[in-house]
Amino acid sequence: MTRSVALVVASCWASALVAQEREGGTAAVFERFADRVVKLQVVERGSGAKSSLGTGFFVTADGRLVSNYHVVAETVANDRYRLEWLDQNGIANPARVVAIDVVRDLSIVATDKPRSTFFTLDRSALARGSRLYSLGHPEDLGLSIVEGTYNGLLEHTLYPKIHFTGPINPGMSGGPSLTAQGAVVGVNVATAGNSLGFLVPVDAAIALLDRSADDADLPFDDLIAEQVLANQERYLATLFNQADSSVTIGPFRLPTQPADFFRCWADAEREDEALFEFVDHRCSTDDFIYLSGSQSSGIVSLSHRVVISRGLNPLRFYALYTNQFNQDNGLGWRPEGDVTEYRCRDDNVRQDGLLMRVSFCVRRYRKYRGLYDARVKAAVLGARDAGVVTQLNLSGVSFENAERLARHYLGRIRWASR
Amino acid sequence: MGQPLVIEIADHRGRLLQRTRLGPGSCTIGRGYRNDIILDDQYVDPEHLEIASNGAGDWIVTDLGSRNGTTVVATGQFLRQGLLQPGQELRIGHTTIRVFASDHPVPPAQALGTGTGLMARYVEPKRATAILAGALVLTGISQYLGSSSTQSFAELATPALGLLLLAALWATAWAFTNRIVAHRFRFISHLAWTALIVVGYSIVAIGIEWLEFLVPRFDWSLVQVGIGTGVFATLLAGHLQLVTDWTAARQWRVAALAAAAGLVIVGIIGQADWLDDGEDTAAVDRSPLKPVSSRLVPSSGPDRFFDRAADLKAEVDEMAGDDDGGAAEPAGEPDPPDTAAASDAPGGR
Repeated sequence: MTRSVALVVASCWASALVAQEREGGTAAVFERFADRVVKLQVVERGSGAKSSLGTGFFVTADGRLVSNYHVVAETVANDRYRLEWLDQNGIANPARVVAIDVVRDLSIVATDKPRSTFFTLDRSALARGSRLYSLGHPEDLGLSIVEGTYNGLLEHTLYPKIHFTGPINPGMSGGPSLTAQGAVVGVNVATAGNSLGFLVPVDAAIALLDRSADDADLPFDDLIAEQVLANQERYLATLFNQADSSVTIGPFRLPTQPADFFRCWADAEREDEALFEFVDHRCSTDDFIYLSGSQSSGIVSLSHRVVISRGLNPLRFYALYTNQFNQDNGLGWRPEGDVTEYRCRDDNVRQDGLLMRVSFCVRRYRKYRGLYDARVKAAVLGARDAGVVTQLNLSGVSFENAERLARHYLGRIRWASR
Repeated sequence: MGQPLVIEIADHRGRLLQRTRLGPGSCTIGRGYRNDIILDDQYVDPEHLEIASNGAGDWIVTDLGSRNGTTVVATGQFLRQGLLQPGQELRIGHTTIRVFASDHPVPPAQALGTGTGLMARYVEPKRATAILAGALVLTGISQYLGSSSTQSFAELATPALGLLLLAALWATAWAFTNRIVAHRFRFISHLAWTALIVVGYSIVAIGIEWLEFLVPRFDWSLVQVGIGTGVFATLLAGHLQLVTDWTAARQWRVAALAAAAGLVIVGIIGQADWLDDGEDTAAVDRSPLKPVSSRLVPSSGPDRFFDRAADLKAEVDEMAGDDDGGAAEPAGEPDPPDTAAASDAPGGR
């Protein structure tokens, strides 16, 4: 700890001159553009108190703002909340959401106040390492500007995101990240801590702004479901397409790495005196689509636990196997108002000579028609000393996709050697 | 046509007080000490009833002008005077008089030292000890088969002893009941009966697990509830047999009623909201897996499985409130909003 602090101090002295020069630049950027960035707050109607806040920025002469969907989500989902924007003097004015893109986490908010200054959104190519300035209201501490660098697009994501190296903090969501010349590059959306920030590329905001007139009429719940369903067709179609994405664990050949945007991990549990061993393998998407505080879509995960006997008799081994099968059910709890209870089908299923106990469960999102959480879990039967508990979890997908992927997944489970 | 008669006197709870064979001449019944049959019933007159032979061998019953009268139980009518016949039942005050012919059959004698019923014979102390020992061994074996690590003797014996302790508490309660009601203790018998039922139920439960494994499409939960209730009723009926002198039918009736009441109570508690810990939107898995050659396990192909699974969509859609394809029902209570001052970015990892 002491050492790292010392290092930071030393480097500060060394670059004092450069920093001074740059601060002048940052101050100029703030001076020029601060009035185009406002605070958005979600207010509970009954108490008049704010329940959450974020940032937005003006993009049209008729006073439209761009922000994140997750900043305004509560007001879209629930009549109990309304949206306000705060002008330079801190005076609250009403605002309304006119367009959303849940997949890209963007929204367009109308303030109905004409503007003389606003950002003109334009696509521009940028070199990795370019300096960017990010504006927003971190933790309700007032409008702030942070410097950072553009680090290109992220890999392993469901949809494109810019990797911004700079301290984006809660409350800055929805704010712009721009070049010194005032060209907006992206919209602040997420942070992974330690100056790891993520931006939604500006072209998504341009596209949403272009069609913001049409969307306003639709009921937002249906629109959200529609957007999520359209998006999943795109990424779910790519799952399990690579023929070689299988892994051999013990006597089993099992699916892995369903697509590039998955990350996989493995671990094993082998204790000297234990009468069994576990080998675990799991893959998950790194990314998800925010729908509401407790609902999301796009999380796909799979896990295998291979259980191998080291001297347990079959009855004892199957007692252990049963526990493993029933223990990790991977079906998370969500508030009852958001989703229905799970409904499951259990059966012994035989496919290409392989016998499995299969449990397939689904529950529906109450508000979003056509969106389901699904899980298929299987245990391979027939061996007296080895088994695998494997499951695929899908959140916020259509029933047809859930069924298709579950089937496909089961079809990829094989004996490696027998 | 006259014949010798026997009258049976029972109190208001149906308990037998005495049996008397009617002798020559007459017989008086009442609360007074000069009667042939003296009743301790404050609603009976000092001289209430007379039964006398009419010389032709018939017996005539006469109410002696009693305050509360004499009632024929079968018809509910008052009787001033009438012919007494086997099978008749009269009521005076709170006392019942039943009439039998002297050739009324009785069952043969039971051997000395036996209990009142079949069950009581099976759990006499010598057999009871063997049953207990068997139950303890079986519990140990089941602990061994359910474990997946090396087990010490203490680890194997602990569940058996725990079970024994619980069974002993239950049996003690019954033994004290027995002591109060029938002046017998029979602790070992109550304990052995409890152990026998526990072992029996465990064996049935294992059987159901196999059925759940082999025939997963059938919903076995109702069968389990039915068997559980039946086993509990059997347990109660056995204890009642050790405690009471009731007929088998009555013991079973009472036991079945108590078990049904227990089921209702458990059902009501199970419905209560305070037990609802929010687990219901998560799924609970309860699939037993068994080591059997895969050729012996009935199974369906993936097509058939997913055909059946297609119904799930309609099931959860209905739960979500879309039955006619109309607008989805509005969601229930919304989440309380995040109390944090600032809205977090969704990927704040």
